[in-house]
Amino acid sequence: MSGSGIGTLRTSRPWRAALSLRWGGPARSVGSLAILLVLAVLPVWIGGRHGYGLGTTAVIAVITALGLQVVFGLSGQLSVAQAPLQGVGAYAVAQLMVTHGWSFWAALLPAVGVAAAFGVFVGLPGMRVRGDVLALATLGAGEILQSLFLNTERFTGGYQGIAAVPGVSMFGTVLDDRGLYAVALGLGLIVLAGAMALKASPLGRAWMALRDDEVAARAYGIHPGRLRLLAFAVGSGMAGAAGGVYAVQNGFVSSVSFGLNQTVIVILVVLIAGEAHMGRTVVAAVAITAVLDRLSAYGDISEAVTGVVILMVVASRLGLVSAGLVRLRTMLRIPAPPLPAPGEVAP
Amino acid sequence: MKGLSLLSISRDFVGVHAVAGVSLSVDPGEVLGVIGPNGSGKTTLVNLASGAVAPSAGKVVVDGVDLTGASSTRFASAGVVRSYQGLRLFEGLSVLDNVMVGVQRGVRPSLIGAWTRPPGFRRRERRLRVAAMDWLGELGMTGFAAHPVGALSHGQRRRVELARAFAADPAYLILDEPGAGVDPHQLEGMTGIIRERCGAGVGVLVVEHDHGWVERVCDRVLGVADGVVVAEGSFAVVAAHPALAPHLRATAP
Repeated sequence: MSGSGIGTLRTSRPWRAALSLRWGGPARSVGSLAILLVLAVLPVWIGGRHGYGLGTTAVIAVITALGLQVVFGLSGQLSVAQAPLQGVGAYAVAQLMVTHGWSFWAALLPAVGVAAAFGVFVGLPGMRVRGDVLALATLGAGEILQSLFLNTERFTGGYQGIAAVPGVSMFGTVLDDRGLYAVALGLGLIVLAGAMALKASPLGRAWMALRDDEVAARAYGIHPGRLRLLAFAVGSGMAGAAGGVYAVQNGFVSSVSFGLNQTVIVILVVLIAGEAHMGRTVVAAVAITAVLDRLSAYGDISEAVTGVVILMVVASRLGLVSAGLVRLRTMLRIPAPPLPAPGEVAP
Repeated sequence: MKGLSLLSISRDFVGVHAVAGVSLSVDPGEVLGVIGPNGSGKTTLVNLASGAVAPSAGKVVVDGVDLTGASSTRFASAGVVRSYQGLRLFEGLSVLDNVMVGVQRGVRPSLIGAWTRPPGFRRRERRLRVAAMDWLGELGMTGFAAHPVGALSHGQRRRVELARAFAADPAYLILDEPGAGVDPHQLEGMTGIIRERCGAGVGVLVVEHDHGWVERVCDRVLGVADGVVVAEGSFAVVAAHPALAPHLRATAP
């Protein structure tokens, strides 16, 4: 019984075997590293304040999206509160630096912790509900966070926000745009390595098993409740770190930066990259950041474009794109390619 | 007090008695077969024995510990592992990772471990991977380790599911129709593995429609009809029971 299936697969589709040889294992790792390197060097190539600023913004988007990959991609819970959780990290860093005079480095870890704690609060409904109901519950929790940003003036500055957040200091000097980009890049690489390590660990496999079939996962001894909350804590902590970088990059934190629009963009990045694909998430987040930057000159058009991209992602997920092509072919009376005769090998 | 025992167990579904007062016990190192017509309560018995559903009355005892009403996670910790008639693979994972979820049954997933990867953690990961690959080899699936399970045929998916169950190193293994959708010679191929596991002290409870196979593999057979045990003993004795004989003739190959 062994071996026969393997043989047929290899011989009937030799190209597939060749492809998997070429694009798998070490070759694939080298390719991915090369892409990562190119993306990391892009801001240097663009150069100047704009280039490095854009680079830092892209890294913030990457970290936030990787956080959502942990919550949604790995553990299968759609959180619609990723931007407000990023906001929690941003407010925490801003508050600690402005009011208490902490350095960025000292403020970052507590900010991650606070965001993780709020993430657990947002993810609590995940103990009982799944899918669309959970998504709605997190949406509600995100709106509550937004309301807290505006109404707890003592911590958040209310509608005024927190201004004059100092820059990042290192070895006694305040870093310029290039230095901040380097810091953000380092943080982004740590988060990327962390997300990839999670995926290839017993914890990551347990999360993905729960995501794919909770009944079977339980029958293999996996406790759903604890692990689901842990995913929210980790993913939200990552969002918090991104928020911390956001605070020092912009020097100003207010609630408008962490609304539903921003959350939708993070979800879009994850959907484009595909669930649990960490490397592709980096590419998708960088691409979206670049596109939104280009569009910002045209005002509100960026929201329309976001909408169109969402519809495109949904259409391709539903198989509507290929179905649409078939219909188009019929409308234009282009004959479909003939089916191969029995015994003939399809091209 | 070793053994997986169901004591006078019943389960009702909105007024229907799916299982009514059944007692059975699987000892370590024995294969107990359950046969009976469709709708006789076989799958409900499997669900009761694995903690997937709680009994309406009666008790489930595993190695002397009363697990009545406990979660299936708790049953898994007690060493009870099951397969599903409908497979229930983790569709987003590769063949290897599906089996890895089985191998890591006793492992407590740790966040710190995943991030710091200390030597002990890496050694364990290597050990788990080797064990998973060994089981894939047993079932002739080595070449598919990196494939997504969604790309496999039904027979191959069945083998992945069994590899996952065996790899979980169960004390009691419950197989719900392992022959469903599998051609007879593949089912025959599992016989050796099941007998070998049995020799290693695993208690096996198997529900199967291929009665020739049940006769060859099982030490003892239970005949169920309408949710009650109607006969128990060797396959020949059970198969001769008037409530089961017409059904057996109808399905004989």
